Amino acid sequence: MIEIPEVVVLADQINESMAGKRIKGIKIPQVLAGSLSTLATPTITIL
Amino acid sequence: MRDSYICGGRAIGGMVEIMADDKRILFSNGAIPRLFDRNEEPNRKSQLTIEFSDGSFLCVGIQLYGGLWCFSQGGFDNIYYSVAQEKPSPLHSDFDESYYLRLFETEKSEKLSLKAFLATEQRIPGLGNGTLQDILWTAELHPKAKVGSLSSDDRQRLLNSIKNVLKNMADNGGRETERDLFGKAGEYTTKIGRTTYGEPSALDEAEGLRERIIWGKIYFCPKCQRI
Repeated sequence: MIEIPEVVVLADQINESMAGKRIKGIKIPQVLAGSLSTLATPTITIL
Repeated sequence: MRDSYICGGRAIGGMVEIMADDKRILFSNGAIPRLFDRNEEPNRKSQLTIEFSDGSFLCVGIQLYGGLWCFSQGGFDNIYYSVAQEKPSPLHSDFDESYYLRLFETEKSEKLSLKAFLATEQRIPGLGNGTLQDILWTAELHPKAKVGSLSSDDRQRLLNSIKNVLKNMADNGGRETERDLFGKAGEYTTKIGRTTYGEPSALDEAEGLRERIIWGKIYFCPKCQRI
């Protein structure tokens, strides 16, 4: 499980290596997408 | 979120937040993000895959359990997220002696074990069962010791240990049991825990012990961590 030290490391690396990237698309597993589609108010938008 | 640009990331307690224009992507617990270069094969079994226009991928896998959210800025009503933003990180100067001592003033804290005090009720967001083992071992305090039994010296030693151990872990890229954005294991070697169970303690060569209390296990040295 990530805790404070690992979260700090990940955030620094995201700043250094991901800033400026443009999101082209998002994928989630089909089984997860199926379960989400049954929710009245999905908490994630599947693109 | 398509065509949004990543602005950066930030640590919020035990959560990692990625800002993408006015959208937010949030991970916690066992949700582990991993960035793959355009020349690498992304993890097809991940619970979330974000493809970037430069051909790279961010994949998020889940170990045991984890939180993974996407939402518009300001549109996420979650108690853990809110509390983590309100409270200072032990790595920040705002988490000073005055703030730390106020944590002891909460109702019933005197009767709590140190494990419960440090790692439950979001007293210190992001400090959990993984990091507290080394914090208590370094402070030479037993995880089952009651908060009310601590002397002022014990409390001061615990504060120093919280700040120093967490900083040491972060400075070394995290614990050796966890991996970073590129899949590299941290270089901090845990002093006491699953990997050292049954081996002599580095301090006094007493054999490390293990018990199960509250949620999860505790690891401790019976000689140098008193109750």
